[in-house]
Amino acid sequence: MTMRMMGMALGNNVALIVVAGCSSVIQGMGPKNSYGYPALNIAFAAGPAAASGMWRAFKQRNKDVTVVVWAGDGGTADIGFASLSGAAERNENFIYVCVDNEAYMNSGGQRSGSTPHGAVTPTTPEGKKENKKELLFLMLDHHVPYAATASVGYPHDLMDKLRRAKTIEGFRYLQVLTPDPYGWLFDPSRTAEVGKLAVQTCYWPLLEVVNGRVQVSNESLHCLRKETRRPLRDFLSVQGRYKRLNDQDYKELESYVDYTWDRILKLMRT
Amino acid sequence: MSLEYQVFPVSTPAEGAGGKTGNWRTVRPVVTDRCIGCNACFLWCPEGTIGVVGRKAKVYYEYCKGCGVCANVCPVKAIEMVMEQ
Amino acid sequence: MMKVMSGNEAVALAVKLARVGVVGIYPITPQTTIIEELAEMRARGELSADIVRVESEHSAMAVTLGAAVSGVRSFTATSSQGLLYMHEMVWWTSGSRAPLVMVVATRAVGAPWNIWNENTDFMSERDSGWIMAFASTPQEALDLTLQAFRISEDPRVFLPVMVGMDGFILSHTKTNVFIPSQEDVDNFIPPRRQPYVIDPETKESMGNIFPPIYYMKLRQSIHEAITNSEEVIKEVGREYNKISPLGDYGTLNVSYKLDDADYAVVTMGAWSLDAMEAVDKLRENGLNVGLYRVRYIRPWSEKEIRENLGDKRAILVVDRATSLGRGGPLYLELKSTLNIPIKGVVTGLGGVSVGKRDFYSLISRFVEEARYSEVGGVEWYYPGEVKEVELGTPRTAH
Ligand code: SF4
Ligand code: SF4
Repeated sequence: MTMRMMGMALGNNVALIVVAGCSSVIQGMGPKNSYGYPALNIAFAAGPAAASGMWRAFKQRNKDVTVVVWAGDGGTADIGFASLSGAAERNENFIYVCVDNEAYMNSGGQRSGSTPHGAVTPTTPEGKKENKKELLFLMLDHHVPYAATASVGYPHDLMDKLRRAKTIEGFRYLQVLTPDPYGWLFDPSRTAEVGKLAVQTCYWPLLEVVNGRVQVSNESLHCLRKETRRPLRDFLSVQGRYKRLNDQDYKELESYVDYTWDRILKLMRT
Repeated sequence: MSLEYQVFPVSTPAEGAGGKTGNWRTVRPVVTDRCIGCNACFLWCPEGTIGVVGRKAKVYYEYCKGCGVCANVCPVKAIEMVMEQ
Repeated sequence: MMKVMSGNEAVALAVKLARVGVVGIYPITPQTTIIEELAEMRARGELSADIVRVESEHSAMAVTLGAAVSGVRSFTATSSQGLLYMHEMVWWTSGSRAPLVMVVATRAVGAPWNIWNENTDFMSERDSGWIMAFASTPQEALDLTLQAFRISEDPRVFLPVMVGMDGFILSHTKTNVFIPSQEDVDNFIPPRRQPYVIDPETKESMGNIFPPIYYMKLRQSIHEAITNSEEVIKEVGREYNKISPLGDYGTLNVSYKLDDADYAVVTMGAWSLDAMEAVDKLRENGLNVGLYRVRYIRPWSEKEIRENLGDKRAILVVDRATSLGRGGPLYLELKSTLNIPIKGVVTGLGGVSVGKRDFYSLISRFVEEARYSEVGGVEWYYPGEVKEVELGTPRTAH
């Protein structure tokens, strides 16, 4: 569905690079596919580099095409990180969309670097011990002209960000929190709701950083003050993956949220 | 030399290349008169099988998998999920 | 025009003459001077190619592939560990059927670290579905690279081409090279052709999941494209001969004094020239030997090889590479092609220097053996000067 939102926001002049992951499966079987976009499917760690070659090919051919890399959180935070970091540092001219469902959903939901503390996955049956990797902050340290987060819970915000990203030249990073009912263990019809709860409880900040200037999106403004944040429990309790969470873990996650927002506040001041 | 042996891993867009997901369904969404044509269901549907046609949402049942996302996101609760016969 | 240049400079020049659009580069010895030369040409304004200085070889291949599928001629180069690191993308590229060219300046593979020449890195990509040529002089490095672009973009082939050359020995040694004119090259290499273009105008996609039967058919297609490329390579070679007076590309591989020879030695790459001198010497001394130099490892021309070597009494195959536990790759390929006694020699690994004297003694010893007995098997040959090597105490497991 994020794909459809992209269609509405970016128009037709788009070429996709799809990194191994769930999106490479849902396109269906060749020789047909269910995308409206031309897509180069490619191995896990190669997306950002292939996009670096592709946008240059369009430039050489004098064609105005927006190149978009579509990758999961595993491809972004783990195996593809070197390639992503290289392309960001070179300020390559494409949009990188990380569809973050916080695990390797394609191969059965195993933990990734983007899985949050406490989540039960097939490879962390006792709950993950480490915190989620801070991809947005990592991208900011590459001095990219555009970096933002979005949630599929707020499609209009997501589309606005894609539209803005399209107008900017250089490396653009957008990380979209995409609740996965089968990995996070909730009823599929509540996908939108879970995507909203992540934002309302301030677990997932909606941000937009243009040329280093940090802007907190409207949906997340209440998070700037601790008192106005919705309790994290409301987000965690609707998901089965946090069933192993004890009080200690809960505190850990709460302090993770505090830490994230302290860091955002600091960034806003500089 | 005939070039018949030259085949490539190329695919072209086709409706429902992901398979006829309509077969999975146990409940189906039915759009009622309350629909205001806001397109929220279109944005949300994971299969791309609902969208506003004219002023009102329409479901493409061949591929709709009956997940109920549309009913949940509709701001005016215009979609009812009814059991498949 | 003639100019004195190294193999790496010759390759860089070929890339420029072929009007490449995108080059993905990552430094590794001994390939580095190719990309340095390209970067300098670009800085001087002689090269219009977009140079992408990526963060790894895996990405170098991905950049090159990304540009190729979206309609632009592209190039990369690597060596050794770099080739191994990009291995996944090497396969993805041939599976994608993307026409592009890569040069491999060969080098030994670690551990332990070794920067010197050996062909095992190149030879280990034999199964990957590329067209694979190997040069023996800087001249040939230039010629084969230019031909590679045309072969790769031929509709009967549509596959990536890998051109190998011996690290340092060719890459860094300067000789006289004939350079065809830009006009001749422009006429020789037609405008870019490729099987599909990833572009909003075509809306075609590449590489999503295909059902098993389709997948197998696609693999068979690559197999047939490689076998059929033999004719294309000869045709392209004959065309190339017209623009280069030194050209000798009407055949895939090269034979030397084979017609009347009873015995033959088979080699690949730069040391073939040393072996040829040894052959001359041996002939002076009354030994009836000739040489066969393999230029194309893929396609593997069974026909040419049978015609040239099928009637020999025995052959000696000298490899600068190994398939550990088996023998040299050339030796293994020839064993599966010919029904005559074949002996393999593995030598020159990791930069061990093998010269014409070594070839002289290897070949004369071989002929001696072959006269009175059935030859076969694989010998690991160390040149005379390095008999004793101190490798420390043998260890048992802890
Ligand atoms: S979300 Fe509801 S009101 Fe909006 S178009 Fe769909 S059915 Fe109609
Ligand atoms: S039930 Fe699910 S698949 Fe069917 S139209 Fe609604 S959202 Fe789409």
